[in-house]
Amino acid sequence: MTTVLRASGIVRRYGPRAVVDGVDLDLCTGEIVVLLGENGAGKTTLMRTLAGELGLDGGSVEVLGIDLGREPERARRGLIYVSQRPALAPLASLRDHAEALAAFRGLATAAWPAEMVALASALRLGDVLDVPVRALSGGMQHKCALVLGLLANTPLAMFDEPHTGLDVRSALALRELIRGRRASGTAFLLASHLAEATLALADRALVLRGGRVGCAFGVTELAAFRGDARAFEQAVLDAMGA
Amino acid sequence: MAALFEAKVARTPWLGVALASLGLGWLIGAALANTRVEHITDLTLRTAAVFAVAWPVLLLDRVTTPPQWATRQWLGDSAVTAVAQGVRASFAWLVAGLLAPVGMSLRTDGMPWHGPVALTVALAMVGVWLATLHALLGALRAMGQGRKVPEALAGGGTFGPADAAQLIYAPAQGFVVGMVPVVVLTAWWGARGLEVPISTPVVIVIAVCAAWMLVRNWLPYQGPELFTGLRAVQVAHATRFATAQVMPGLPVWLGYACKAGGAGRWLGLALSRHDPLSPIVMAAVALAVAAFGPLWPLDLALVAAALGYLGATRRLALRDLDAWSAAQWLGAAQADLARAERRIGLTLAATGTLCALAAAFSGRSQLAAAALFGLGVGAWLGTALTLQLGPVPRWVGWTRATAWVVCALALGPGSAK
Repeated sequence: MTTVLRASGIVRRYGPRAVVDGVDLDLCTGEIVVLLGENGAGKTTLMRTLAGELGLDGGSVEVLGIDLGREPERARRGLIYVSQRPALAPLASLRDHAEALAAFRGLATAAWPAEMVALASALRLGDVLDVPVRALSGGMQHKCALVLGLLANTPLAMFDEPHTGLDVRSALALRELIRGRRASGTAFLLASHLAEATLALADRALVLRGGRVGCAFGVTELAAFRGDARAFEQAVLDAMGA
Repeated sequence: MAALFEAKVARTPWLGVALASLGLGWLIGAALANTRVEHITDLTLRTAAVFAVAWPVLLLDRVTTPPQWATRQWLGDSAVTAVAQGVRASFAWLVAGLLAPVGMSLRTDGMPWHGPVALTVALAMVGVWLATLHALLGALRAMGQGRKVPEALAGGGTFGPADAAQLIYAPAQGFVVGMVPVVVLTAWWGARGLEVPISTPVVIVIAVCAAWMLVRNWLPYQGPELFTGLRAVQVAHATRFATAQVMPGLPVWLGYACKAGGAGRWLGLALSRHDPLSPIVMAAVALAVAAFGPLWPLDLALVAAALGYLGATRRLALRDLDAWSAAQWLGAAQADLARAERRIGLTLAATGTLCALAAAFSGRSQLAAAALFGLGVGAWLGTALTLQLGPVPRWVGWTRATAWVVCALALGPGSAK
């Protein structure tokens, strides 16, 4: 397995306060790691830092062996980050965005249109491909961003709370799509509050507490909790502390 | 692809722009046709300045904040293609804008000064466009190469003041540098006469081709530093410190001097507070007043003061930021600041000297000498003090502004025959 992401000693401050404080994280191809933690624990900040949206106050990040600090544009071509508030162009439709994504990232012309339609249909966006995103609901806009995030087919995909705002059917479909991508080698870093989704997808789960990794659940531990989401939630709560 | 995406997210009514340019040119052509021949060079210079002042604003907007840049960046667009697309879009605006001299020629065809007028206006538009583009790309590259840009991108690190200074000055610098050949040309025209044996359409075609050839040769040499530079600008636009830096306070006196009513002053205040382009907008407003106002020496003095104000207030903004303990964000690398100030000082001094020489050509030798003296004292002393003392005292900026006023007065009425 190839290491897709290697982050060591990540520090990110807002003013004097370290929101992310010395996090180490490696991701290999086909691996799914879920970040858990209370609001303000540093999940989003960590993801934005790893995506190059925020600068580093300490540590280093390599994406496919390329230093994000030194060669940001090249390193960022190996990843896509879908935030909770995706930066969609209000006047453009999902198809417009997909066309731009395909052109900017050099996706194969023969394959991506059908793939985009398939992804959109799976997330129940098939009827709104050509509707400007400003005319879509918040949940649908979020799904548009997820479609684009999956369509990019980058070695590393980072989704910040991907299940938020999704209906049950779409949430289940998203899990299947993520699994499918994982099978083809994409590594995922997800932030989530949902124990059930974590158990369904994750190979590892990291609980952030005060900007540090407070607790890590490996494959074996997660397997032990499968089928008992409440017990897992309790374990996570214990890891978060008082 | 960037063009297609941009066309969807930021549509430009090209036909309307072209027709507006043609119509505006036609109106100004009518004004020129009714002007006494001894005033034709003055009015041509002012007209050229009015048409040229649009390009620094447009280029700053298109190149440093491409439409939907956040989205494009997320989707994988590169800075180089985004900037290239911005340049192409602004070039399209330039081509549309060059219909203005065509519109003018519809009314002035057959007049003996018809050729020089078209040439002067076209030269001003293309020259300012090129000079501003060069200054902006240079500033972006410099920002991308800055030592602490990654930290600056985070919003909590430092950001070389030299780089920021270049970007802030780039539009005004582009305007001034681009206008130099125009000022010299009109002065020459006033003193010695000028024959342009080619028609307006040919002038326009040559101007367009020359601009495009130059830009095509520039762009491939713009390196990946543009990406970091462009991202730094994006962060800067979202940061109140940067906004304060780019955007100095309202020159209330300018609003009064331009005889703006309550609504105009309110607009000026809004622009100054919320639009980072406000200094340029103020200069554009002043230029428009200068072009059509009856008291043109005073008006042009105001224009010059507005341009000088760019320099003066920028320094004041830096002082304010220092007081806010935001110096860390700006870096406070005094050597860089001194280098930037020296470059700016040299540009101002060279430009002022050329303006003064142009005034001398036109026979107003006393005022030309005063302009030369003012510029010499203002720019060179200011630069020297910058190098010696580090942070620039407040009065240095105002000295430069005064130098500009003196220079403008030297180019007052009757400067061209």
